[in-house]
Amino acid sequence: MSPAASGLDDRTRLAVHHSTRWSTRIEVLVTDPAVVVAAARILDDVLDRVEEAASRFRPDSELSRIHQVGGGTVAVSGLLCDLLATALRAADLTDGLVDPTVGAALVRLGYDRDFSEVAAGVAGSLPTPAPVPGWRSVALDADLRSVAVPAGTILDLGATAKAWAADRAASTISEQLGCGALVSLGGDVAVRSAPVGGFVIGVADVCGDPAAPTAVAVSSGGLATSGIGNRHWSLGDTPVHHVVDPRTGLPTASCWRTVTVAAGSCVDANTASTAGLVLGEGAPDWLAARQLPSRLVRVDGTVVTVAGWPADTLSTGEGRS
Amino acid sequence: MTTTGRSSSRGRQDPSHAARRQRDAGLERGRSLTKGIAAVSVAAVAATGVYLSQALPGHSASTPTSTGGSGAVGAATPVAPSSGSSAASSSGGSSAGAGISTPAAAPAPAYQQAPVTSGSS
Repeated sequence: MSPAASGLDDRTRLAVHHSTRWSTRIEVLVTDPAVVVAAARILDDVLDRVEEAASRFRPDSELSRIHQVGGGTVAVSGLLCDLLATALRAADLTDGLVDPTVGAALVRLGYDRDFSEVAAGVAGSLPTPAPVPGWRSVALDADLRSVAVPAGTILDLGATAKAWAADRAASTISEQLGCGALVSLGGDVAVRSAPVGGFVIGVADVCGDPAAPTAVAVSSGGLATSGIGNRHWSLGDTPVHHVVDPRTGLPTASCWRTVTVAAGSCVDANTASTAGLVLGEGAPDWLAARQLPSRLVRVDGTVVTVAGWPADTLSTGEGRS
Repeated sequence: MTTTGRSSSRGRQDPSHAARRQRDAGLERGRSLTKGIAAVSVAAVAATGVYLSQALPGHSASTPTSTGGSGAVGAATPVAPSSGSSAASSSGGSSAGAGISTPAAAPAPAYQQAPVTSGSS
């Protein structure tokens, strides 16, 4: 864990621990200040193991071993099996809008190492549009704990693995330490055993923005925001970002700059918010049909809310439709 | 005496009573046949589902093997975690339902700056 800080939130008396990892902001809040350090350790342990299993950037990760085999069947740990299953479920539930086989497309865009090394820009030019291999090409056998991926396919579990880690860490902290817990991994938030009134969470274009235009109280489940306001870089002269449209293999050209969704878990919130961003104009109807409270912000700043998401509370600077 | 009358009634083969019994027996046979057809249909659908879940690429060939799983494959089949440290032993993560899980309650408006902000990262 690096760099880290702990403290008490003055308004709610929650104990807060901040750190940075995976080029993102990480926070854990607990309702019992005495256990905040133990909670941070649990979170760190979960992140360690997820990274060892599913990092696309570590040559010694299990995921990299799958890629190195190049088409054969590979035995995987129970953890990676869970992460792969979660990613495939997300793909299934979104008809492939959230697809784990976007890895090679991200590599072609220059995102082939930790983002801190990509942020300054990389050489190259925008590739020709081409669909990604598709999640149906991944054969996972959870009984045998094995997976087969076609040669040349690179998996990127980033979207769902981070949310999975938030869910897992929040559940473990709450159950093992007997307290309410909120875990935020770069804006993917999981809540367990919240205090009365819920945990208050700001919602902004960029994770950690202190000038969030609205805040909501969440009592359970998960909240996630997907957007193009962060994790973007230059590929040659072309600005690109990390949310790839599986249908083109290119950064999604969405009408939304952020989509925030509340769901029964952080994984499901992340799945829906990413799908909404990729889906574009159809996102409000798609989210409303699934009764997922959501806040979508158009590129021009116009805010759209669906399925009971409350009106903005902290400023009136943006339009509303 | 009423008792005699009753016995007498039982002893005779009342044509309408016999017809009713014949009809009831027919209905019972029909019900049994319907139940059998329903049971066979359910079993066939279940077997087809199991076969397809194992045959389709992109789906796990697994059925749940233990409790506490957090992942799920395909539309509905939960996959149990099978290893990992104690930190991974509790449940959490995606719902095992057929669709994206809805929250227990919609987020409530809050009017204070929050210690945590959700945004793109």
